[in-house]
Amino acid sequence: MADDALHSFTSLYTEHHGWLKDWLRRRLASGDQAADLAHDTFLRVLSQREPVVPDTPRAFLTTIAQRVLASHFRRQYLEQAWLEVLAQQPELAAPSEETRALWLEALCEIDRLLDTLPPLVRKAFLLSQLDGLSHAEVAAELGISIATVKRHIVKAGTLLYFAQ
Amino acid sequence: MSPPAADSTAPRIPQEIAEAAMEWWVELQSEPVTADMQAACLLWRQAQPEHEQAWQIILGAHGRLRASGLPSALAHATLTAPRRRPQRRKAIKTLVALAFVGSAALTARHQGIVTPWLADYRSGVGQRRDILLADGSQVALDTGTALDVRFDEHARCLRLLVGQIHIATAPDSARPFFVDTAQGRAQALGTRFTVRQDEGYSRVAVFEGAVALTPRLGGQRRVLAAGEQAGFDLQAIGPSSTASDSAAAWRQGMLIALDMRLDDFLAELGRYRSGWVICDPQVAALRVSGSFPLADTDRALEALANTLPVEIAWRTRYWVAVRPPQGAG
Repeated sequence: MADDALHSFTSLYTEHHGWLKDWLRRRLASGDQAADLAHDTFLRVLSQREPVVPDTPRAFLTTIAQRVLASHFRRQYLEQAWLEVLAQQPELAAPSEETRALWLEALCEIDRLLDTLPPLVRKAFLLSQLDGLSHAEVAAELGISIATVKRHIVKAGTLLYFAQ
Repeated sequence: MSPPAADSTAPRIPQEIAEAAMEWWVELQSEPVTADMQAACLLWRQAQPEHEQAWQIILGAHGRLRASGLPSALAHATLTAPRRRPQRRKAIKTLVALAFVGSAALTARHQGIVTPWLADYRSGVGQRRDILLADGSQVALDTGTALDVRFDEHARCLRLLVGQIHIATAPDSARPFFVDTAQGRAQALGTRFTVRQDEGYSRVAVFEGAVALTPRLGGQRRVLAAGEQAGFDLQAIGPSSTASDSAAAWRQGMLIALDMRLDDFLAELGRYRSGWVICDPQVAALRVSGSFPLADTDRALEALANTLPVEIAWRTRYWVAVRPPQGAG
């Protein structure tokens, strides 16, 4: 990063970090989470690799923080759904904590990448690519045509497989 | 310390080629697949290098998805249900119950790099991990590392996606042992060595035996002997220098600095911490020597203030600046 950009980032951080944390704390259950998400927000600012000299820094930060919050709540939802499945199928709870943590992370990543797609498209993709069902089997399972199944797989695969 | 990378070193495939490759992929999974269709697909792959790249990306990502062991029931229950508003109170309880998962996931996120998803083996920031491969080779993962392992009857192949590994290979005369990075390939010639993937750059240090380096786009190949290290990018291998065992001290949980520039030292230490360590340019050229425990990088930073004319300024636990003393004196 150029010195200028680092300097403006540093001053953005210094002047608004406390305010952002308070802003987040009012929307969250705990102060620790607010600190974590404030950190995530600045991380996103940094990784956009653009000079950080917005005229309205707090509006700028709020926009990014809202995205961070949305993915935070989405993640909580996924964790909840995941716990329910584990409760119903205890044999899935058998693998090590580490394996389960990796699964959850993979789930969140897939969820994020396929964010824009409707459930039916995700389902067609998973049945074919994760479960290994044939196109005809997927079509029968979902009550749609084989051509539609293929279109769904192409759509989801283009997003998921080509994510960097 | 450089800012976290938002992108990876792999080339970006244009959208229309990605889609076309997916269409071929789906066609070849149809029933029945005719010989004509297979031939046509092969022609398409050979038409442009980017076509083949796109094809290989699909093969790799699909393989990782299948190999992830992600249980189908879990994936469907969480990913294909219609969206609903999260229930705040329930979610908080979940978070408490899942504290262990949460902390692991947060660590990965705070690394700032998008860890290549579904890599075979991974370590979080500040973690080290030892794994034993099927052939008896031992691999140690340094902080923030992701590694894929592909063994078949012809070759033993590791792909280092990010981070650093130390390898002690098991002998197997029938199957060569490779480590691929974004910049090229290191082939073990009976050996103990480390491979490190930095942004746009790979580094190999050899402690026993020898390792042959081949950059991906350069024809030149060079063999490093024990006690040598060198870096390489896509085109060329840099000059060799002496590799001392202190470069692999991370395996014992130590960072050993021998007359190291302070900014280099802080960049290295920063790999083991979440957040940023900022080095003020005024003190960047100071020299650091000593051994520092990686398990407690806060202490390592405080130790600097005792031996060098610097002050450690903590803004938050994620943001530390090392600067000239600015106190009353």
